[in-house]
Amino acid sequence: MGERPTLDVSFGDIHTQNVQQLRKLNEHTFPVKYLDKFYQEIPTLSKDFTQFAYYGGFVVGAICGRLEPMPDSTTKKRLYIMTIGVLVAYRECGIGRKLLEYLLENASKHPEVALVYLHVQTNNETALHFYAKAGFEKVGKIEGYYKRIDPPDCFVLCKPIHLDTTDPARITAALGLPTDTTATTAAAAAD
Amino acid sequence: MVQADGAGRSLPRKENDLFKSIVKFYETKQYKKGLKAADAVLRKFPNHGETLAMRGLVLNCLERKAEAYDHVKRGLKADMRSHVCWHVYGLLHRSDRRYTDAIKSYKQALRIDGENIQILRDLSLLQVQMRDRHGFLETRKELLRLKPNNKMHWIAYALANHLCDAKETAIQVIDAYSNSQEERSATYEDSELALYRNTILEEMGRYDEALAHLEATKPLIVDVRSWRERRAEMLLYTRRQRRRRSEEEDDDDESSTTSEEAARSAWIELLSSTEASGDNYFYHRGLQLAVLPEVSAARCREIMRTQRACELPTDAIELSFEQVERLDETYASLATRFPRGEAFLWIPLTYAPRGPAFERMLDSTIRRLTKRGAPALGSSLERLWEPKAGEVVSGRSRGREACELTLRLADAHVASLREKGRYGGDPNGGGTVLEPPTSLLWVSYLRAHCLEWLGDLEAALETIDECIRHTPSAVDLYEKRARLLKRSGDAAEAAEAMDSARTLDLADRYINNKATKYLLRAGRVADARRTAALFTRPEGGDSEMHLREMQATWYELEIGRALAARGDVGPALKKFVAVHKHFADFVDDQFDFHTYCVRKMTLRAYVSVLRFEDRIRGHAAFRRSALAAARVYLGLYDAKVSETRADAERVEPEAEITENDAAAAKARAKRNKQRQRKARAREARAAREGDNLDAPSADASKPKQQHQEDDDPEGLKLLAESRPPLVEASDLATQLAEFAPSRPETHALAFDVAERTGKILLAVRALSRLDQRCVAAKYDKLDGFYAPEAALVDRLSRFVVVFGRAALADGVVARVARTQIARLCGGGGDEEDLGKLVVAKIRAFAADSPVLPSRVAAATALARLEPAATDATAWVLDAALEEHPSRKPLGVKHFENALRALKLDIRADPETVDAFRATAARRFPRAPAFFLPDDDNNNNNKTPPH
Ligand SMILES: CC(C)(COP(=O)(O)OP(=O)(O)OC[C@H]1O[C@@H](n2cnc3c(N)ncnc32)[C@H](O)[C@@H]1OP(=O)(O)O)[C@@H](O)C(=O)NCCC(=O)NCCS
Ligand SMILES: CC(C)(COP(=O)(O)OP(=O)(O)OC[C@H]1O[C@@H](n2cnc3c(N)ncnc32)[C@H](O)[C@@H]1OP(=O)(O)O)[C@@H](O)C(=O)NCCC(=O)NCCS
Repeated sequence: MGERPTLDVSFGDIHTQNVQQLRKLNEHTFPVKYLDKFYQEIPTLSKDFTQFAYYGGFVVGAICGRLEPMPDSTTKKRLYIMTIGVLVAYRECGIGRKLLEYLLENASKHPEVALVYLHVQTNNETALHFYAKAGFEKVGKIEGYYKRIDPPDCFVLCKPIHLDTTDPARITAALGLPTDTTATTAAAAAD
Repeated sequence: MVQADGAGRSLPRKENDLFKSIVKFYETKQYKKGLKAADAVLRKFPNHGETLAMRGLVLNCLERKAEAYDHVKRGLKADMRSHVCWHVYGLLHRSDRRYTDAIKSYKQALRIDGENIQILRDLSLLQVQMRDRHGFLETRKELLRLKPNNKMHWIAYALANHLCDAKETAIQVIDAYSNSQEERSATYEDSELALYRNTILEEMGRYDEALAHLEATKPLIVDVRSWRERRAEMLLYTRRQRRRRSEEEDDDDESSTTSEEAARSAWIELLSSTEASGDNYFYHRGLQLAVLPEVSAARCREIMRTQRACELPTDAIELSFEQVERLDETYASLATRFPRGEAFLWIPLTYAPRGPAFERMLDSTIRRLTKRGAPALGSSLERLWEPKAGEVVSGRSRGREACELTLRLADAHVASLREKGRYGGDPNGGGTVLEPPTSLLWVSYLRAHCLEWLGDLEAALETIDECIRHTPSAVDLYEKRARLLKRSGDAAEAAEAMDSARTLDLADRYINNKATKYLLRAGRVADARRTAALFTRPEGGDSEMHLREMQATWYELEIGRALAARGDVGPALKKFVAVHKHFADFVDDQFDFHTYCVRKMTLRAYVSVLRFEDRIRGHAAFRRSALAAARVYLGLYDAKVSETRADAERVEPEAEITENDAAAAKARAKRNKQRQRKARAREARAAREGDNLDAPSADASKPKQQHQEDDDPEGLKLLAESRPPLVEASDLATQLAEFAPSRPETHALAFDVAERTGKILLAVRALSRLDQRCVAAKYDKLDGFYAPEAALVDRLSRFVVVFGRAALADGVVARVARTQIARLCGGGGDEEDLGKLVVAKIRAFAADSPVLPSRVAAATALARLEPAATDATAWVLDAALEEHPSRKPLGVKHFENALRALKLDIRADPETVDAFRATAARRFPRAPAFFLPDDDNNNNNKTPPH
């Protein structure tokens, strides 16, 4: 893209009044189409982990994370990033990083959040770079995760927050990896 | 309100006290108790007139109208010599807004008790309300004579003189009053009075005196800003006045340069007084005139008083090179002093002469504003592309030329921003700063705006789609897309698009209203209602009622039009009548000001409210509602005529009308009877309810504040209660003639009414007013042929058809008509052959006026008189291909109208109709109106919406 300016963004909540802007954003950002159910759920989630980024008065990016129970814990939670996306024209201006920072900062204020994790299509170099830069690590790969896009495989990336272990086995277990590869397809991605 | 003195009128002590208590209860709104007291008196003296009248007045407040009138009338009959009875009668009329009757009653009361202050005061209020200025003056004079100690009486008397144009006296009265004051200080009241006096001096053209008066009263002034504005304004006028005098006396006035300097710095001071004042165009007007001392005092004042919004003296004044330089210097120095003041940078663009300097300015404006993200830039630039009547265009870049230049500059920036992320086109090698992505978005948006204005709607749509791909979350872009679809003639797609834009921000009332409007334009009334209701109070009950209470005239006009278009006459009329009522309410709202403003001494504001109210019915919303309602009534009349015509043989127009009116009268009588029966039932019900109200608090509150449910949603009652359609229409035409005398549609309507009532002289009068009084309304804002001349030729031809024979008769009327029509056709020729004269006029008009709507009017008119003439269709076809070299191309509506006229009025042959249709379809490929009859599939193959 050549030289890019740095943009000062502001943040705003996603609610039922403006959630259709998220739909527009996603339609222009992701290869998969999210179902209505997804857009009904987003406004109900904690604003700490779902947020719009605004520039010049318009939504130019969004992050949607949701808290999930940890399979092996009653007190701890894991934070799943369902989507993070920035409009093509506004990429590489620091907006994605700021959205992710927003989520990570809030996560660190929640002691019950053990870790943040997400799925990335294996060929999405940009996103892999992006997350690597933010300190995420590959903890696994799920084959055939996506049904309609190619390649259908994804990596699972993870970043610890309030994790009381450094044992990779416990982490993969917490994420249901690698033994059960279908359990984590909770994301509405499909279709 | 009602005075009880001397009211005992032979009542014994006990009853007299009771009577006084009625008055008290009435004034404290304890109506229930008032009724009881009245009943107590009436038990003993059933014919006591004043008690009967008072009981009526109380009943009126309980909404028991019929009983109220009955009581008051009985009271009057029993005691014709009572001023109380007459006063009460007046109050009753007043409460029903029958002001003229109320004035008559008050005057009767005063004939009996001429010095009754209360009645005089009530009378004066009505007189000023009705703008009986001289009556008002007399009454105020009398009040001042009776009670000279009351200061309000002085002020009101001064004001009355001012309103009667007796400004000299007004000043004297103010001075007499001020001199009688012990001591003057900087109180709000003294300050306002001084400023008020000053405006009167200004209106009299005594600028030197006004200026001196300002200096003298400076210590009294509280409203310092107004004082400074007035002073700056007087400085503009006074030096010029002085200079003109000294020129006449042929000696030079040395003070003139210093006072020029004083004027300039006064305006600059105002412009820099607060953050926002740099955008105050009133100040900019002052500044420009201060910098242009060549302009006469009279012209200056006219400009300062008549220009509105962002209009500027330089729009109306041709500038010499030297003047341009002077202005440029002034703005340049202001721009450096106030870097945040956008107007200092913008305004020089608006008066710059054509040339490279203008292009540079336009270019830097585009960069500056697109960088900041100004979606309104295109609309602001339209003032260059589409100058208003009377604006200077010679030597300046205006019209298509300016729009095309904007487009070229925008194109260069789009390319450069895409490629390098920087603005381009700069001779110094392009911008150096890396732009945010929004700069590209807004330059592209401007590009779309240019293409739209130039009529290339498909290219505009493509551009806006690019914008949407760039920032798909921006509501503005979808709104623009919807508007482009509307301009393309596809109302249905436009409504879809606007409605989906609405879903992007459900909290945005603006886009919700836009979607409502677009749905209505597409005829989707039920969807529009649901959409509009989203922003009404749910607890307010019926959302339509709520919108009416909010006086949402735009909505009522739009839905009224949509309803009328699909033949829902009753509901449509209801909406138009509602708008009409809002205006009656606006006018009534003045009542509060008559007492309040004089008491609070807000005289300047008061006078401007009165003047504003004088003009309020000239507002577009009033005009439109009156016009639309009149058209509905005419439609009703025509429908009835064709019904009758189907029955009877052809009848002469005159006879037709009487017959119709007779039928209508019979129907009306029947309906009246039903109505009365219903009204009686209603009142009986209300009476029962009223009797159950016991608590005085319930009595005191306004009875039945708002009806939450509309009891007549279909407008059936409204239709039943209205007078014959022609009477209603002619009433509306009369109102329009009073309040919108310079609009062509006003006189076109007057003709259309006269044509149906068969009143030849009224028809002739409407035609000559159309000829003489009208200013051209902008073509593309109107949906009929409203250009005065187009309307004129159309109506002239109808005159020949309807009145041709009558105009040939003997007698004065016919002779006057003949002469006038001949005059309207350009004079000369044979008055005995009006048909020929009119045809010549039509041909001349068509030759002069190649634009489509004019040609359609001419062709329609010609076809009416000479069905065999072949040139009519050619006029329309030629005009469809013609492109005005500098104006904005015509909108799709004009082509739709033309096609309809070709088929129905001109009755062109199928080949011609099809040729026109094809031309229109090339220009508006999306407009269903121009699809071939079997083109439905085409319809589905359109580029899919987003
Ligand atoms: C991934 C995405 C959100 C990044 O957003 P962004 O606003 O462009 O990212 P930023 O500008 O904040 O970049 C932050 C860091 O990510 C890395 N990065 C971003 N885009 C990159 C690219 N195209 N190539 C390499 N590294 C990249 C950079 O290292 C950058 O750090 P730097 O600024 O120090 O160089 C954005 O590219 C996107 O929306 N992609 C499509 C959707 C998607 O794949 N989402 C992830 C799956 S859920
Ligand atoms: C409010 C307003 C300025 C906004 O205009 P807009 O939506 O941007 O539309 P434009 O300025 O392009 O043109 C004016 C529109 O009025 C339309 N119009 C013309 N005559 C009309 C009439 N008799 N009744 C209703 N609308 C009419 C024009 O057709 C044009 O509509 P379109 O271009 O959407 O087809 C304009 O619609 C208007 O003047 N409306 C009535 C004003 C009103 O009632 N205001 C109430 C305030 S109390």
